Order: sequence, then structure tokens, then C-alpha cells
Amino acid sequence: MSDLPPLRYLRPRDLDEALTAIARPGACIYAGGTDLLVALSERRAWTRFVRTVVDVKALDAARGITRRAGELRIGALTTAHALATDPDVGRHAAALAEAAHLTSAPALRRRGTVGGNLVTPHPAGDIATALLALGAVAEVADASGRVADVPVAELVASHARTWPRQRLILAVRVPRTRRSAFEKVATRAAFGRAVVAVAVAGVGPRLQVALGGLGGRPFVALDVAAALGRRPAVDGALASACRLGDDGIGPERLRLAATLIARAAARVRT
Amino acid sequence: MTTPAATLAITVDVNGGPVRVRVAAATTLVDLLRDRLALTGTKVGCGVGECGACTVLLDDVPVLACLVLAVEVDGRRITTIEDGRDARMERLRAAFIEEGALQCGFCTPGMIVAARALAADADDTAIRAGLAGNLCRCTGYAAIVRAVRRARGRGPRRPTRRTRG
Repeated sequence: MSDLPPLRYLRPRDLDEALTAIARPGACIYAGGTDLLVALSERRAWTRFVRTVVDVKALDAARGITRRAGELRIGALTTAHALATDPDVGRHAAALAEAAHLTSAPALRRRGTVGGNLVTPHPAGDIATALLALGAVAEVADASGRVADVPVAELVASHARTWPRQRLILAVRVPRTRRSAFEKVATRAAFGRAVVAVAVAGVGPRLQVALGGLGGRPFVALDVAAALGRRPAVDGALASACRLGDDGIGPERLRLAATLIARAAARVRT
Repeated sequence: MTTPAATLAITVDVNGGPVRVRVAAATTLVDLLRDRLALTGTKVGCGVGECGACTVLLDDVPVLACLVLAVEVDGRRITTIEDGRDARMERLRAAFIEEGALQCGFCTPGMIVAARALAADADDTAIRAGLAGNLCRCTGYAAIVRAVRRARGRGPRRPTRRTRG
């Protein structure tokens, strides 16, 4: 027997219904469920308010991958499996496709969504790490139906789970680039949490670097990007960037991170 | 649906047969299968998406039945280890036995259903990647990969038929 608390269920058919539904007291957005159902059954503290799960999977506004001038619009309901296999994502946001391919396990990749990856930030969230390097922006609808752009960096930094719940991520928009790569060393070859994850992306003229697994959540490492190609400088920037994150990051992990950064940057340059 | 529902009546195709049942919103798909429909082939290992023992196919896509709500599968198709119609599933079941690809057997239904979701021509790398979310604490996986390979190598097994002369 599973061990979910008593719940009510709502499945809105359009954005208006969804925004009304998530404004109800005790409502919690439910998409892939790979994080929420685990958290509910383990009675994690942050789920104590949940009385109703609002299944947003029927929302057309949060679906599909569209190629536009200069960017991809990726619906928040897009699964990791879809990211890993979509040809447009592979071509124009390779770091994201690679991160999605290396994250989790096949059955979970079929359910876990982009939106979920952003609101339930895992310290080593591979998809969030790739989106950070690519400089992605999220389209977020508030209770009034107004849709605003929020940089993914802001979303991840604000620890979105405690973020106002009456907001709904509809999509992420990712600048198209032919120069991006993702590298990860995990606790095991497949279905392993990142010990270190690195995404490097050429956005406009500059390279951006994002790191996962090295702190409480993935982050953009500006100084590391500035030092790319100069190993001692990268090491220095990395050491100070990681001191900003968690304790307990030893020299081996920093060396590993520097190696992965060099590897990803080399793939981006060629 | 604009009022939160505590229970819902759903119709699901399970292994080719329609099932109509009323379920509580907090019922997971694996509880529906095991406790309400007595399809106990699907196992509950961890209950939190770590082990793969509860893998079933939802519209032919592998999912973990412990992390799907039963109310979501209304109008959809579920395939479990019990599915007796599917030749590839039958070949996999036979190959697991022939290769001795199990010891305690608890992970086996999930392994077989996950393997059923692989491309018919999956190579060893694809087999290993496809089973990455299915944990086995007994076998060390080598026999499991061999069994999936063995099932792949076979042509469709034809049921024995007696021809009337």
C-alpha cells in the first residue's frame, strides 16, 4: 500500500480553470508527480498544506516545443524524455537534451517535467543546470492571468517550492545556440545523482557556465565563465564560487568540476 | 471538473479488458492494480520511485505505478506483467526463466515490463540503459541482460497448432 495522505483531485481543462484551481486553499500543482507524490507519501514538512492536487497535464498552454526566431519555447509539461529525444532541442539547446538524457531513469524521465524540475529544485537538478547556462526565461502566469517573464536563474535562486503557489509556470524560452554542452559525474553511471554537473553554453558572444551538485542548488558561475581556458584561473574562480555554496566540497570535487568544465568548454568551442 | 473530487469513477483498459471502478483521489495506480483488481504481479518495492518494481506501461510508455494516481488513468491503457496477449512479453517471460535471470523474483515483473518498452532491436547498451531504473539485489544483472537479449533474438513464437488433415 502506498501511503499518501487523503487528497482531492482537480483536472482543469484550460488556463482560467487552472488559475482558479491553484488559488484554492490547500491546492498544489501536480504535473509529473515524480517529486510531489514522493514528498506527500514521506510526509515532508512542505507538503503539510496540501489538500488538493491540481493536475495541470491537460493544459495546452503548457505543452509542446516550438521553434521560433532565436529561441525555443518549451512547454512546462514537456517531459525529460521529450527533451532528450526532440531533434530541435538536440540541435539548438544540446546541453538541455544531454542533461535530460543523463537525468534520472527511463520511467521517471517519461513523467518528470521541465516545470517540475524548476519548482522542486534538487541540489543537483540536471535540467535546471542546463537551463541556467543557456540563460532560459520562464513564462509565469499569476492568479489574474497575467503572464510575466522570470529568468530561470531567479526562479532557481528563490527556491521556487516556497514561491507563491498561485503562480503557474507555462513554459521556458531558451535562446537557440549551436554551442552548448553538458557533462556530469554521478554516483553511478545511470540513475545517479550528480556529484558534479556542468553546463556550458555560448549565448551571444560569451560563454556561460552553470554548476550543479556543488551547493544547495544549481547556480551560474560568472567568474568561472570569465576564466575559461585558463586553468589556474578557473580553479580559483571555482573555489570561490563553491565557497558561496555548501560546506563539505573537498578539493577532489573541485578538481572534478574543473575537468568537466574544460571538457564541456572544449566541446562548445569546436 | 471544477470541484475537487475525493473519489472518481474511472474506466481503464487493463491488459485489453475494460475496467470500471471508483477510486479515492489518493489511490496510486499500483494500489488500484494490486488491491482492487487483484493484479499482484506488479510489485511495490520502495513506493517512492527508486526501484522500478512497479513498472507498468501507460499507453505503451513505461511508468512507475507507485508515482501515478489512479484517477489520472481514466480512459487510458495499462499493460502489466499479467498481459497474456502480447507475444514479446511472453518471450521475455520465457527467456527470464530459461536464463535463470531471477533469484527472489521480486524485481522480475518490473524488469520484464521495462524490457518490453525497449525497441525490439535494442543492443546491450540500450538494454542496460533501459533497465537503469530497475534494481535487482540478487542477480548482478548479467543474466537479466542475457535474457532480454535472448528474447530479442527470437522470431515471433507461433502458438503450436494442430492442423487437421
